[in-house]
Amino acid sequence: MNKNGPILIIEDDMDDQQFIQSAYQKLNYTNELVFLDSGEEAIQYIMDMKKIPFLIISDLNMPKINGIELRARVRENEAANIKCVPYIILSTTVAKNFIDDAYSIGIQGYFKKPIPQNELMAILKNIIEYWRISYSPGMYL
Amino acid sequence: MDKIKSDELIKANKELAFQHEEKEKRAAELGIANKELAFQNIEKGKRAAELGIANKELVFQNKEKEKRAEELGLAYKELVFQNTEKEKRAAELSIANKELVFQNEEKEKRAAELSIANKELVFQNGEKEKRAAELIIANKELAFQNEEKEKRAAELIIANKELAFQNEEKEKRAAELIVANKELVFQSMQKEERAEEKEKRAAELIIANKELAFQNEEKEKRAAELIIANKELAFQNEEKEKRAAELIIANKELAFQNEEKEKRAAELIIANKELLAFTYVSSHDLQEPLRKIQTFVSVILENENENLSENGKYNFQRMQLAAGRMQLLIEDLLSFSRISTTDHKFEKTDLNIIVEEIKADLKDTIQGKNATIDASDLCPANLIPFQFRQLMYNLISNALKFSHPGRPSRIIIVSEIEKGNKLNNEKLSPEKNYCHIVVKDNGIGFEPEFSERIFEVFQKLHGKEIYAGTGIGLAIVKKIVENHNGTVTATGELNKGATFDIYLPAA
Repeated sequence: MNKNGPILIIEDDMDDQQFIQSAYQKLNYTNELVFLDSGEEAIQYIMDMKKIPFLIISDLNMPKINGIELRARVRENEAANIKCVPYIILSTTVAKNFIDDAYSIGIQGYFKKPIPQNELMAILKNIIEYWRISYSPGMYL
Repeated sequence: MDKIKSDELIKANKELAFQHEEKEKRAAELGIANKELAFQNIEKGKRAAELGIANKELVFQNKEKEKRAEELGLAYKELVFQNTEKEKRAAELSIANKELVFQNEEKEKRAAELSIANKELVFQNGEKEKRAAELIIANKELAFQNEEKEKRAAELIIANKELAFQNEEKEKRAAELIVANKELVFQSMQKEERAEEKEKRAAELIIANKELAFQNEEKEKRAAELIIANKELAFQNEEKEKRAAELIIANKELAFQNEEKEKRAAELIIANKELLAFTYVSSHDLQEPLRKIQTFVSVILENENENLSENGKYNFQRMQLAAGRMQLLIEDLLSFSRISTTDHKFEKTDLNIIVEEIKADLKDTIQGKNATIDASDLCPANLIPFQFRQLMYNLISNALKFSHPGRPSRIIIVSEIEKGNKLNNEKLSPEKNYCHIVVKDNGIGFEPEFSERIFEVFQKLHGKEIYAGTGIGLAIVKKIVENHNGTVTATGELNKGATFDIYLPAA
């Protein structure tokens, strides 16, 4: 984690990207927002990235490489993995088996995609404020 | 004087001479008698020798008979042993059969449970559901056991034939023995006649013969007993063959029923896969577009408020309500299907804590309805905590939702451990202990004829305009109670209140 680094949003749904973008804009944070449209694109980006990100927020239900598989692959690569804390899931589904699977491969939070914009803003704000005062291994790289 | 004396002397002499003659005659007679005695003695010596030989022969025959009797004794023991073995096998077969019948009953119960569960999940899919994989494995096991039993039955039949053959052999030997014995008796009689001639040895021989005859009788008795025992054994063998045949028929019937169940289990597996696919679709693919519709509506209502006509705003609000209702339906359906798919881990649980947590969750509603919930000293119970919490939540929130507008809502929750025969429910085993939990309210109640229907999926007694809800809450309650192997009943009286009785098996 690097508190001035970008926030990675891994999200295959363009509508959801738009919701997140507009909610984030209203919050007036200065961190860059980087959208990665698929699991493949995300894995490419994470393996090559020079800058340590501030947060990674990932969808679960994506074609080919879903959120769980993506997290598992990142975890296999120690160098990349240490940069990928916090790794947070933002999903429509809150079924127990998804939550169990996600936490078993090392995530730092799981949130349900809300319906009203102001709730999405509240969730993003809470995540950002919490991690701004937290410590993580990436800070010592 | 002298003359008298000489006369007396002459008389005496004549007397003496007569006596002498008599003695000589007797001596001659004695000589003849002695010769005769000597001759008779020789004759007796000869006959005694003959008797000795005959006796030796008898002893030899007796030994032969003893040998045969011993052989018969051994054969009898063998027979008894084989019989015991067969009884063991028959007992094993009947135990296995009972086991099979019991497993079958268990499977029938499971199949029935499956049917109920599926009926609830997919209304039209009446008779299907549950752990089909377990059924298949159990059925294969059953089929394997059936084969084993058929093998054993075949072995039993072969062993029985063997026994029957041996029995015939023994009867033949017994018959031979009887003939030999008769011969012996006849010879004995002859010898008794001869024995009269020499008293002492003859008497000894008679005693010896009586002894022998007695032994023969004893042997005959034993032979007769053996014959009876053999017949008894043969009869028992026939009975066992009959029972083995009956068992084979029963096993075939069972195998047929198992096949039928396997077919149905296979159908259930397919139905289950379809259901799981539906669950996944509803958990994600249905929820995602719905959430987006809701988000777009809320964005439009927020950002385009001034551009919308009053009618447009109203229609958007109606859209929001309908989408919200659809969301509720999907979520309830999901939790209903989750109840049957998640782990069933039983834990000793304090019901008081569960009720307190629910009271905290529903604090606002309780205050809004001016409701009181009386729950104290609830007994600890062995349950699936996550599921039972949902059950109690559904019952308490229902009681609050259907409270009577004319009076403050009052909910009473009590529990006790009781024997089945003390509880008024025919589904309970009289000797088992049950944890009986009662949730009673003074709300609007319902007509008694709906006491079964209210537990069915999507069954609602009121329009959604009056009481919001999807009609799944009590279906979930019933499903959870069934997951606990328990029973739930509802009794109601219109405008007076409703009572829910839950009976869970207690240790």
